[in-house]
Amino acid sequence: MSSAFPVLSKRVVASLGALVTSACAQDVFISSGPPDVNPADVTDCGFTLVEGTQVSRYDCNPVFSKEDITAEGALGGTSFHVEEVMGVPFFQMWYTLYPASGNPAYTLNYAVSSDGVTWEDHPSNPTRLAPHDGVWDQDNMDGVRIVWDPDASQYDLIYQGVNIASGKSKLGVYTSPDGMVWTPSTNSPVMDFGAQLGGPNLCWPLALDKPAGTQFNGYLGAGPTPGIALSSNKCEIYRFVTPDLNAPGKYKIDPTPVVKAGPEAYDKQGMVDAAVVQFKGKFYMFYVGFRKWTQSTGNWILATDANVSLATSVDGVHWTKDPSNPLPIYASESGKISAVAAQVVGDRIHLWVTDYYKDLDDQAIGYFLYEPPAE
Amino acid sequence: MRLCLSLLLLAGCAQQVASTSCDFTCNELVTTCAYPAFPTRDTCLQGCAYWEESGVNVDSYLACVQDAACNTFQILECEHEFGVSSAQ
Repeated sequence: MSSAFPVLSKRVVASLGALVTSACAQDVFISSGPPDVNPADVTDCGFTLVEGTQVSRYDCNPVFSKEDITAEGALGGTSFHVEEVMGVPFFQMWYTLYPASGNPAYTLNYAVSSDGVTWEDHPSNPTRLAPHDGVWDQDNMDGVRIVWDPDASQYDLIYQGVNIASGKSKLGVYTSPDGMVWTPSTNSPVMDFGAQLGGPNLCWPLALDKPAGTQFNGYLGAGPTPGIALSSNKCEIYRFVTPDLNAPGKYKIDPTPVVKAGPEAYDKQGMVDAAVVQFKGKFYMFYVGFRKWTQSTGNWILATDANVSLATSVDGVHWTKDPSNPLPIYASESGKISAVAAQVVGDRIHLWVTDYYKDLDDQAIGYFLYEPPAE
Repeated sequence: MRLCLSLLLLAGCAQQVASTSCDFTCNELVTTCAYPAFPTRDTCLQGCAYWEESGVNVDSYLACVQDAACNTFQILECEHEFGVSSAQ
């Protein structure tokens, strides 16, 4: 049997292989796309699959608690962001802290991590102090959502500011060039919660995104009846888009919720937090659904008995709740979760869940990985 | 036969390779700053090769990272200014 090409002996083939290898074995590295680092390869502890879910729990949770904070106080809301450095994830976190002294009422702080579990506080924290003297957001800064806007080259922040005495909460907007120095937008607060005419009555911000070249899009908690301080009311998930966070008249909020409260018991009263990511053409919403309202200070009520649930969508508008909800990923006791954050890195969705840890007798942040099922 | 060998050698090296700038950048991030995000130096070099493939000016990025002197907050801003998201 003959061939048009010379038939090479095994020895020649081996030599050629060595030649090719040596030709590429200089101080160069061949790229085959960005590296996909297994988080367990860069953390001190491993991850263990939570039975019946696609979620793995970091074995040394929590990864962030009051013990990691130089200032004293109770941990409030968080916002997470991922930046890739040479194709591997570095993580940013902003968190609110409520000092025990009450003065200031709260602070906003910034921390970073190169492995998702060890956090470095910014040496100049806090980035923002609560204002005094009856200002609209003097008591609480909740629902903090921070995104990097690649078009404007700045960070954008939205939050729910609360003045307890006035019984009002509003949507605040700040911008920052570096995540540390924040400036209020000229029209902040841009809208009142609980007082939207001709639309749903807003509860709090849930999620925010700003892909390059597109509008801001996000989700707000909102209910059909006036005033959030009604135990009969619900705070469901509404989608919004706006070209400008600072332009009150340009927010377009869908007239109906994209994820409704109930009829399942685990989110009967609504959702108090949510994180939305897009992964391989599908949207994943991790949300904190709650079962009941609990009376708090004055006329204020709190969302309680809350756990993390999952909904998926192909368009970000039509959502399907996961049949295995709520996800059994609580730390010490079911129902004490207050926040969830999600970021896509490689083939995984990284989750941070703020929950009650009995041994700390406090809220702290746990780290989880979600690996979507193959389809 | 000589032509075939040349083609074979070229094919073996036809993918994007990381440059000397990548070497310096990865020295800074992996050796000097010792970031745990990189399980190995090769992880950094692979990411850097991919960045170059994506149009990142690694020389500018390297200068920014060296100025940051292992200040992670500043290094993350280098990504905004010179990294892969700025190149797209």
